Amino acid sequence: MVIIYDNNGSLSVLTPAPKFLETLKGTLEQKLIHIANKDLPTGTPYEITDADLSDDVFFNAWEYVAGTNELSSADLSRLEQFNYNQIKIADLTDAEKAEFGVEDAS
Amino acid sequence: MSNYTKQISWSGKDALSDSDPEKVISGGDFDTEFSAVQTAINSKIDGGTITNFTSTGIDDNATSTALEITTDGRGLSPFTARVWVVISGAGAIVDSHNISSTTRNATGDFTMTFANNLNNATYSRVGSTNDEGGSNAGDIGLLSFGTPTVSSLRIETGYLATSGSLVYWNYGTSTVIFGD
Repeated sequence: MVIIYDNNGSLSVLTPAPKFLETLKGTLEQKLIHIANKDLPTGTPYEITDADLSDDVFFNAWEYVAGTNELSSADLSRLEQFNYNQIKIADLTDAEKAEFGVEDAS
Repeated sequence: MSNYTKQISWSGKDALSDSDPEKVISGGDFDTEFSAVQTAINSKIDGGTITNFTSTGIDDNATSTALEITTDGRGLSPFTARVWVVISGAGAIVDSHNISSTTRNATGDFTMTFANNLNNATYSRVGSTNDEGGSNAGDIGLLSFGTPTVSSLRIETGYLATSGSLVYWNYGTSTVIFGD
């Protein structure tokens, strides 16, 4: 399954890395939603589909059209952002450092 | 880290006469011996329960971390690959390390997104396309990278047509990244 979304009027197809999927918990759909939240800008409309989109010749002509199963990417939790190195220790509040069990480098 | 060296000559006491005060095994002897054992053991890494392993290298005076091996199997150092990925011509991820997804933006235009961000965008990236075989234009692909970011890197692939113009086309690619 892949994630499709609009890319300035054309279609973008996001393919999850199998090894990364193995690190996630939940159903395949839940894992894909997590990847959408991680890898797409917040608020990006997208759909999860199992359609075959490997065509080369006509790919650039395809467009993303919102369907009934459209979702919207959301922010990851602060802990997830920290674990993915999207934010650093210096970005955390003292309460978050205590909650996440991290200490400033000495 | 230090190795344990026995402190007391225990068997040597056997040969001493009963009147020799050195024949006595005292509480102080136990303290000396067990302190040496404690010092050596405490300097070792806990096998089997390692979370994140860090090392300053072989210089005993080094203070900064030279290598960190994370629980998810990444080796963080200037000399270990931060990212590598093999992508098929159809856009499928054949195999990868520290990649969460690839996005096909257009024919011959992909974005690879890192599972864990790099610390800066001044990393070295090396890539190649697969030889499609044959001897016609398009059989050998070209690859170039877009502006790197800490979270992703864009790849464009194509070939030179016989007319001399560049044609964007999907090729299987391999990319390796070293950096901080």
